[in-house]
Amino acid sequence: MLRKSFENIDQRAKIPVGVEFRKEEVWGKVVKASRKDRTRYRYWAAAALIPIIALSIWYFKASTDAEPRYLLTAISSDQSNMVEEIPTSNWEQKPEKTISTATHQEEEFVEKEVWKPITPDSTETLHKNEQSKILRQTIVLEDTFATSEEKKLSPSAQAFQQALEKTKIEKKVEERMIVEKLTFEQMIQARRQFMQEKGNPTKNKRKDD
Amino acid sequence: MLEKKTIEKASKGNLKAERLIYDSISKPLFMLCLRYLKHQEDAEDVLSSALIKVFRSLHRFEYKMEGSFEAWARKITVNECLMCLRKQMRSPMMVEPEEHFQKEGEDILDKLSADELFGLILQLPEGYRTVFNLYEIEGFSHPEISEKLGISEGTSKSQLSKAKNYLKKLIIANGWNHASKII
Repeated sequence: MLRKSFENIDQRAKIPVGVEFRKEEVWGKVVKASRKDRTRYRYWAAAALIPIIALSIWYFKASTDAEPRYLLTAISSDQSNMVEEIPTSNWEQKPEKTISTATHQEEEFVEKEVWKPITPDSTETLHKNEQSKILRQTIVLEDTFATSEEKKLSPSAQAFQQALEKTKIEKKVEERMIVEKLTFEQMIQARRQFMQEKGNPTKNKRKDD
Repeated sequence: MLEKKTIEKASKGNLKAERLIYDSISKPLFMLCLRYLKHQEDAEDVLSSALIKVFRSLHRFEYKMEGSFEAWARKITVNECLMCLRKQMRSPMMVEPEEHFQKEGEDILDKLSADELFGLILQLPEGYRTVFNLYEIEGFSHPEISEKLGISEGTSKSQLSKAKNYLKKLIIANGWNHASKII
């Protein structure tokens, strides 16, 4: 059992003669060890942070590089609104200037060697008589399109050009659907339209062509 | 006695608080190490490693009452001392005294001063000293000592009685026994 004489003997007794307690040296060892622990902890923390930072950089860089492209698709109930309404014009209403321009640029047309569905008779006529106005309607049309880029197009031509631009295939297009609230009638119309498209897909293709 | 605030600060890595703790417990812990290991260098090494352990595991310490921190630090230091003895392959049972002494009254120990007692403990053979320290000063029971040192309870008991006999011999040799005989 613990004797009274031995209670707190370590506190009561003095350091024996010949023994020296080097207090500061021991304290130095303790501090050194604790500092070592802290630096080790910092190294570990830094080492753990490196993969986290690398992953985050990789993740955010990958997301910023990609530029999303959206194709906006609008669903409309009115079938007539699917194609933009543009005031049409007759062939006869076109200005005569257009025809004369077509004849004027005949040489350029030949130089480009564009495929022309022209009979040998007509080509001969073109070469021999430049003033000749016996031109096929198709040639005139092509020339008008060529000049239309430089000059102002007629409303119908603009509409046609816009329609053509819409049909251009873009690379990697992301499709986004816009949903509109429809009334009951609109919904029936939309369904009918959808069923028509589904039932006869070639029909639409032809329309597009 | 150390305040709870100081211990809490030290557990958060406050160097000043750590120093304050060190100043208050370093000397008694050094004396404890000296009781087990005898040599100054060994005692200092063990003390520093024990204190490093104390400061590292300070966040796990729960302050219950006054003196609980000191007791906790003492426990860690005692374990460190025993580990050091084990490393040095200094088994507590290795030293056998050459002479056997007559059993005399144990009251004589109460008449001695702390310094005299400490000097006597240091003169004990290593094997006896460890068991004596653990039983008489640290207050461990024989089953606990047997577990700590890896010996049987009977061995622990016999080692203790031999240690006491050896102490009495030392007391007689120093001429301190007269007072007890009178009493």
